[in-house]
Amino acid sequence: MRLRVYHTTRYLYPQPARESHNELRLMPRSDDDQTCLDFRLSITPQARIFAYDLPSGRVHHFNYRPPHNTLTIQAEALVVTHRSDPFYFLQLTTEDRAFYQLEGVRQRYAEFLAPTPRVPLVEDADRIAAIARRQAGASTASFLISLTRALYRVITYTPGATHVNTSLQQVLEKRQGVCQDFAHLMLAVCRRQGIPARYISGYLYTGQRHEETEAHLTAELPAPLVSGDAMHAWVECLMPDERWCGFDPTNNLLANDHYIKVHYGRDYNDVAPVRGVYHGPAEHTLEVSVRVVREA
Amino acid sequence: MSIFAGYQTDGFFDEMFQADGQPRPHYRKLYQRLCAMSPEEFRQRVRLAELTLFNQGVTFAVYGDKHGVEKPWPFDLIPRIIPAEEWDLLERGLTQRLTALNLFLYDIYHEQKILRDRVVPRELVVNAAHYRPEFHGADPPGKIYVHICGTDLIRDADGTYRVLEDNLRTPSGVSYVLENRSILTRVLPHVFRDLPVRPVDHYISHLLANLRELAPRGREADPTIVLLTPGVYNSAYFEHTFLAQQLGIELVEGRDLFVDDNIVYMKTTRGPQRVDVIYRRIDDDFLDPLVFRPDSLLGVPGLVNAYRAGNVALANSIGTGVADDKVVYAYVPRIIEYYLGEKPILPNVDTYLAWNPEHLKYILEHLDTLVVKAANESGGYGMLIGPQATREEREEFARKIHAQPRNYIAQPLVPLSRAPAFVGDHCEGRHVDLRPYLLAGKNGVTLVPGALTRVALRKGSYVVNSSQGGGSKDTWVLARETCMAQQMQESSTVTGYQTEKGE
Repeated sequence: MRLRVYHTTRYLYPQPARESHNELRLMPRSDDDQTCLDFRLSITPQARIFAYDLPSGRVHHFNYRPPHNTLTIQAEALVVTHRSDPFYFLQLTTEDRAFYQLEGVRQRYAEFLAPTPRVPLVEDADRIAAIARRQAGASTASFLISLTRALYRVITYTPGATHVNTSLQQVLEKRQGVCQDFAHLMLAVCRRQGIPARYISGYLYTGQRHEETEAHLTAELPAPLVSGDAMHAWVECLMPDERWCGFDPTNNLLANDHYIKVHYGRDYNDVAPVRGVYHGPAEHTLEVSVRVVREA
Repeated sequence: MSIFAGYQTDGFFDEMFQADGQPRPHYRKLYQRLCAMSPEEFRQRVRLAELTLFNQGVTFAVYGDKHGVEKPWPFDLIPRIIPAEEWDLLERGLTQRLTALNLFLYDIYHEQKILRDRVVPRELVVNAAHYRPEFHGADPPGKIYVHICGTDLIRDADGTYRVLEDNLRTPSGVSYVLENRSILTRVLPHVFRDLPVRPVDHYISHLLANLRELAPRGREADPTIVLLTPGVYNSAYFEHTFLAQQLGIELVEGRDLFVDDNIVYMKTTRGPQRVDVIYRRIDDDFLDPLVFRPDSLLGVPGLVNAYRAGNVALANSIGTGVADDKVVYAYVPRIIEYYLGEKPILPNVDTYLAWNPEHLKYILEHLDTLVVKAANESGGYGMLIGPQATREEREEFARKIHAQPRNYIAQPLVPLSRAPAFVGDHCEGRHVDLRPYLLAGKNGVTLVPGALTRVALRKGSYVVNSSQGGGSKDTWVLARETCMAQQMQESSTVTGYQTEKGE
């Protein structure tokens, strides 16, 4: 699928900000599942853009020193996605847990098994795992599909219910969250089960134009897919064939060619799309718009 | 009566005296000189030394002390002497160790061969508190991560030197090496004439030369070098001011620097001045709020990316703390063999890792005989000395170890060697360690023939950290007769650089 992404981030400051330094993780990856054909970045007011590469993807950065009341970051990407059948590689029937006990596996993926500040390996995660196991077949893939579904049913997608610093424990208590919370919770469950799992930031092509989304609010239509106001988040798990496979507990789906990966990491902190510091007023308004359109 | 009357070695290895009470051969001349002095005369010289230190403002700071921040630097007048052949061993052993550690750091931030070959368990490195995945793939100049190192060594019951800690982040204390020497040459000048004591003052010119050679391409001719300090509240602030002044470079805080388009500038009264090399004495966490801790006000936003781009050099580099982790320390002998194909010249202290279930069991069963340390603490904090601890303290540590086994190691309590320290009117044995300072540059690793000998001034104490009641001694490395020529050469280097600075 050929997808074009328009992603605009705008900061509005009540009084002028200055000495703004920013790191951006906005460029889609190129890997077995997708190819980023084109990527453009523009900053207003104009700033010189620098970049470097990490194993997880490309990082851009810039600074803007003079006083400014708004800062706009516009990213546009053209991506071809390949994973049209996400079930193709999955082994759904045979017990294959021995793979995760191999010392080599535990060492090679050690960073995706360890707790992080945002993903403490809380014991409550085991209860969710138990629910998922009851409804799953013998294989890991079957367990992860069941887990995706369990999280989708246990947690209610509620925009605004949590903020960027809400803890995993609070999410579990409220049973409400956004895609970031779904992803962090799934990471905790998987890591406690010894399955290496990583956080994915990216975009989801929901197949709807914006007017249609509005229409859903009034008409009795099936619920549209959600991808948040901004970027989407989901989880990749290491399968016993040593491939990464994407699971989206927010939408109860496997990641297919509607999904565009941008960065992966141990948790949200590693992949935050815009990270910045500046001198100026603490309060500011953030406006984000994301549009994903299919091209012929 | 001499100041050594009634001196007992108490079964410990003593730096100055043999078990039979006779001074060791390399101490004999010093012993004779000191014996010729009455305790009263010696006390006068001690007072003179203290007064000089006070007047020169040589201080250090202790965090959380209600009696104020700055303390006078506690100093013991009797020097520690290291004979030439022992120093040769230390020089070879420490050079080998730092060479291997720099290769290790380059490897783990690039191909991770040593981890793939399973010489060091990968999880210990990638999940280490001071591992910096953000810095993966970056190329520090000359592939050197650690330019300045202050290794802690101890001597055990039979006098074997063992490495206790590597200190690869922002090691401090070298200013005291230089200050101690300058005090002793003033207070005991005649004693120096007896012995071929190798000079230490070329440390500064050597450090400056190494910092200069880090300058980015095109900036080599006249690089701007600065020392970046966290500020007056840091325990080593005295040293930061001392080194900046000695090196003839600006002492700056984070707020004095800024980054624009990936270039670092210093604010001056004549406008921005480009900075090429930063001798930083701020830990990674606080260096750049854009990349590391966003709440840090000490650092410079954008500095890490400017460094990554090669537009400024940092000494030491980012991410060195991972090799300083006390759990990774346990693997250094294997790291040396892996990269250099050589046996380690200087042994470690035996170390048990709570991370390893078998070791964990042993540690918990032997808490009353072991020293337990947190993997990433320094300055003598976060430590349990089993044999001297109360039952409650041991139980508290057992709980901590259980909760986070990866964060603790244990070592047998090494009966540290002792050296005589002057207490009131006579000398008593006090435990000591040794911290030599290493510099790594394009031309390899060099050691200044001298070191900081830290001494636990409290009777019976094993903790030599200045934050915990430790003092220091001047440390004399003796030259072989054949080394005199080299010594002459070293002195001439000093002159060379002083001229250059004066221009």
